[in-house]
This record gives sequence, structure tokens and C-alpha cells, in this order.
Amino acid sequence: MSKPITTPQLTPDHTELVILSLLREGPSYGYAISKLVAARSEEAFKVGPSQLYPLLTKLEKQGLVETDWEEIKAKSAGPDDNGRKRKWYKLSAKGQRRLQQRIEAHQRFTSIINSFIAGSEATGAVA
Amino acid sequence: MTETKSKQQTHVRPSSRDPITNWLDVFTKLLAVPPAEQMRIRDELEDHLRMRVEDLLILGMSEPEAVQKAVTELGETAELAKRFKEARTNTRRRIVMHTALFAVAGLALTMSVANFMPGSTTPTPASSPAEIAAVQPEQGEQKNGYLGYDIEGGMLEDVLMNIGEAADSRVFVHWGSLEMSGIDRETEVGEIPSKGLELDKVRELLNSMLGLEGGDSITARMEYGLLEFGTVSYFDKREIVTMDHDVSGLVPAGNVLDHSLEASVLSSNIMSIIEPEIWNSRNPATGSNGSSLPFQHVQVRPSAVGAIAINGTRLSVRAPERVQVQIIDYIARLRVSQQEQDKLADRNYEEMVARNQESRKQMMAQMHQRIEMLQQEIAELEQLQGRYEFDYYHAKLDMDRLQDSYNVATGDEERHKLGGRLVGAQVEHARLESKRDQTYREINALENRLMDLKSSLADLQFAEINSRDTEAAIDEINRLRRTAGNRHPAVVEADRTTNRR
Repeated sequence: MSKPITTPQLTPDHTELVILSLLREGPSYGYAISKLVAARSEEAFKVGPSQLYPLLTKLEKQGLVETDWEEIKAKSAGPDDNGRKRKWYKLSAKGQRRLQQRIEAHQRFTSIINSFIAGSEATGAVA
Repeated sequence: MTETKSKQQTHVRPSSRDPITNWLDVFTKLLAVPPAEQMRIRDELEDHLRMRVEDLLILGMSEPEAVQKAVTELGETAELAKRFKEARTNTRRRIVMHTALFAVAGLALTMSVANFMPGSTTPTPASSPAEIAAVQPEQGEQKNGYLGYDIEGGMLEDVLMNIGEAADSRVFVHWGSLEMSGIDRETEVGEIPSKGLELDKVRELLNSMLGLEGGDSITARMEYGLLEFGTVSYFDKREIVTMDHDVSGLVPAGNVLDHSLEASVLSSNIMSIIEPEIWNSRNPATGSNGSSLPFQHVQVRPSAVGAIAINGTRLSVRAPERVQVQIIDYIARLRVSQQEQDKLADRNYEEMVARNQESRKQMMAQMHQRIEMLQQEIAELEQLQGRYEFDYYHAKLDMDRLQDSYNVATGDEERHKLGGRLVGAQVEHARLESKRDQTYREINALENRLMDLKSSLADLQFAEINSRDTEAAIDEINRLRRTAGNRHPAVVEADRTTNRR
């Protein structure tokens, strides 16, 4: 009986790559990012808030993302009532460069791994 | 992206003082970051929690269930606060590593040095695994954070600017702080043999070559894409925060403005052990100026920035973040040590109680024995006293009868005989009366001793009953030790009896 296939886990590097990629598509905020990751991966990947927000903080400190605040008011709120605040993230120019480097590195890495896989398959086919 | 936009939204908002607000209050207190950043993190997490609760309510959960689930998904509160702290701190700590790696990444463009893998001097192909690692900072930082080349000598300004360029960052040098350390833009730096060394070591060498140490040494920070250079003292001043450290259990509880001796010693120890040069006050009790005033402030050096105020069981510490972290660690270590000492004291106390119980049992057994002996002795005396009483009354009867006969006798000879016998009877009566009274006194004395013994036995029995609740007594002493400190009378008495002091 074969072992069941387990859900793949995102490493911190992959999580950063995924988030930077999502932000390249446009500005977003924490909760939306976490839902997008789950939806795009058909629930295969989940980035919990305890992982996501410290990572976003780190990216901001490194200058890879820029941030902006939006005030969210309830419909019933008056003009002077304070709403809650939402933090938006946008990829910075530096973040664009870092993402590009990461994508290229990831593709090269995958390519090297694939070359091993292709080699083993060819050997298997010959045998 | 600097202005705050406003947007109307249908919003299912839970009650105003709800568990989310309570959780955020607790979480914010645990966040060891500057206040403005605390509020930003709090606002962001509140937005997340409220949106999550809205989604869960739509899925059919009750509000309490939804709040509970949303908060639980955030994980353990203290751990989350720590992660935010680490996200900031690691960014700073990794500056040096980033610098090394960016320098390596920019190598092909600007420098004639190979790659950052140790032992290699040959540039690697663009698609080699080594280069891939170079653009994956976490892997590179953790496994390969050392330089593959020597740094050429030159003017300090050029060296720092080159590092910034290689780090793909804007550079700002706080020359004012460096000049206070006696170096400037034109200070010449010799070649640093950095090949194969970690950047921290290279930085040590640079500072050593420039003759800089402690607060005067050069360090760097990188935030928001800006790489800043300055002295340790400069960044210490800029990154200063005030934190309240809970030291309850280490110092006695009392008024919030109390300065206990224990708190003074703790404060003094912190200033002596942790970065002694940053403190601008010393506790003369352990200082060197000989003053007897408990908290006289003594200027140690102009650039000192740290200060400690004692507020009962809290130490309000004004110091750079890196020092606050060391203080937290130090207090945690002290707390572990205190717990070990408390356990030892508890063990001594329990042994002392057990010894006392055994001693009381022996004393009670001896008392029971002595009471039995006394009761036996009293019974024998009472029997003797009964016989004396009997003889005494017979002697009295004889004496009274002889007295009557003597009174009615007429002849001289008869009176003379009766008189002689009467004197003899009176002597016998007096003798028996004396013996009877003496026996009475002896019985009284024995009965008094018996009463004393019974009273002492009752005391021991009472103590024995009390000692059966020994565990509760120990718990109470420990509770007092934690809440009221070692100087509470009951704690002092317990410590005294266990020879702790």
C-alpha cells in the first residue's frame, strides 16, 4: 500500500516568492492575500496570519513593498466617526527587482532539478 | 502611497467592547516595538480579525464561535508578538549579511572578486547553483554568509558608498556621529583581509583598524531600502525605548513607588552586567563614589543614554532595544534561579516540619508516660492521706476523751496520770495532723504538676492538629513570598526556622 500524498508546505522562501508575485498583480492587503493564496492553490497552500503579517512587516522593512492605509467605515457611521484601518501593500521598485531575481533563480533551480529527473527517466527507459 | 483613503463598507461589527478588543489590548502590551508601530500592527490585525469574523458569520457560525476561531487562527499571543519583534530585529541583524550577499550579487558588475563560496576564486557561470543561492537571501544568509574577497583600502566614504551600491541601497552616513568618534570621510582604511570571513568579523576588523570600540564603533541599519551607517552610540540613542519589566517574585511587593533593597540590587546588577557604558546612573550602594544615598544619579559619560527607575515590582527601563532584550533574558534567568531557591527553601521547610512533627510525637509520648506516673503517685498519696486522716481523727477522739476525763477528775494522782496521757495524745494528734497536712500539700503539688503536664500536652496536641495542614501552610508561605516578598513577617519566621537566614 503506497503512502498517502501529503499537502505540500510552503517554505519561507516560497512564501515570500508567492506574496511578491501576488503583489506584482496589484496592491492588496493581508486578509485578501491569505485568501488569494488559498484560492489560487485550490486550498493546497495556506499562509496563516501568524506567518503572513510578520513576513509582510519584514518585506516592508527591507523596502521590498510600500504601504498605504485606508479607513473602512460602516454604512451606519457618521462623517466624524472613525472607521477601522486597513493596510495596503504594493510592490516597490526594489521589490520588483528582488522578485525578478527570485523568479529567475527559482526557474534555474527547477531547471536543474528537472535535468536530473529527465536523466533518470531516460536511464530508466533505456534499462 | 501616503494618504489615507476612506471607503464605505457593509460591515458586521461585533459589540464595541468585544473579545477582539480585549485580545488586541493584551497582544499590544506584549509587542516589544515602538508605540507607533504597535498601533500600526494592532490596526492591521484588527482589520484581519474583523474581516475573518464577518466571513465566519456568513458561513453560519455564532459570533462567539467566530471570534474564538479567528483569534485561535492567529496562534499563541506571545509567540505572535515575538514573531513581529523578530521580523523587525532580524531585518536589522541581517543587514550585515545582506550587505555581504548583495556585494556578491553585484560582483559581476563592479568587482573583480569571485563568488562567496569559501575556497573558490573562480567566477561561476550565471546559472550555477552558487548564484542561485546568492539571490535567495535566507539560504545564503544562513549557510554562506561570508566574503569571498578581500576589501581594498581607501577613504572611508568611498568604502561605505561602495558597500551601499553593492547592496542595491541608498546610503546615508551619519558623519556627525562618526566624527565624534574621531573619524571622517577622508579617514584612510587599509586593506581588510576579509576573504572567507563572516561580515561581522570583517566589521570587527574594520573597527579594530580604525581603533574604534564600544559606543564609538561603526555599525549599520537597513530599513525601507535605506542603508545607514553610524556609531553604536548614535543608533542606541535613536532606538531608545522605555519598557516596564515585571520583576515580581524577585523583589518584595509594596507601594508602586517603593524602592526595596532587592530592587536596588537588581537595578545595580543590570547596570553593572549589561552594557555598563550605556547607563547614565549608578546605584552607589554598589558603585564607587561611596555615597549612602540610594539613587543618586551619577553621570558616567556624555553619550550614556540608559536609565532605570524602580516602581515597586516593575523596573521602568529606558534603553536601546538591543539592551532591553538582554534585560528580558537576564530577568528570565534570575526568575529560574529564584524558583530553584524557592524549591530548596520549600524542601528545607518541609523537612523542618517533618522533624518537628516527630519531635512532638516523642514529647507527647513522654508526657503521657509522666502523666500516668503522676496519676499513680497521686493515687498512692491519696490512699496514704486517707489513712493519715483516719488516724488523725482517732487520735483527736482519744485526745478529746482524755481531755474530758481530765476535766472531770478530782484526785491529784488521777489528774496527774490523765494529764500525762493527754499530753501524749496531743503530741500524737499534732504529729498526725502535720503528716495529714503534708500529704495534702504533696497531693496539691502533684496535682499542679499534673495540670501543667496536661496543659502542655494539650498545646502539643493542638500543634499536632495544625501541622496536619502542613502543605497548606507551605503554600501560604510561598504565596506570601511571591506577593509580599521575603520581608513579610510570616516569611521571615519560616525562613528563620529553616535556618535560611
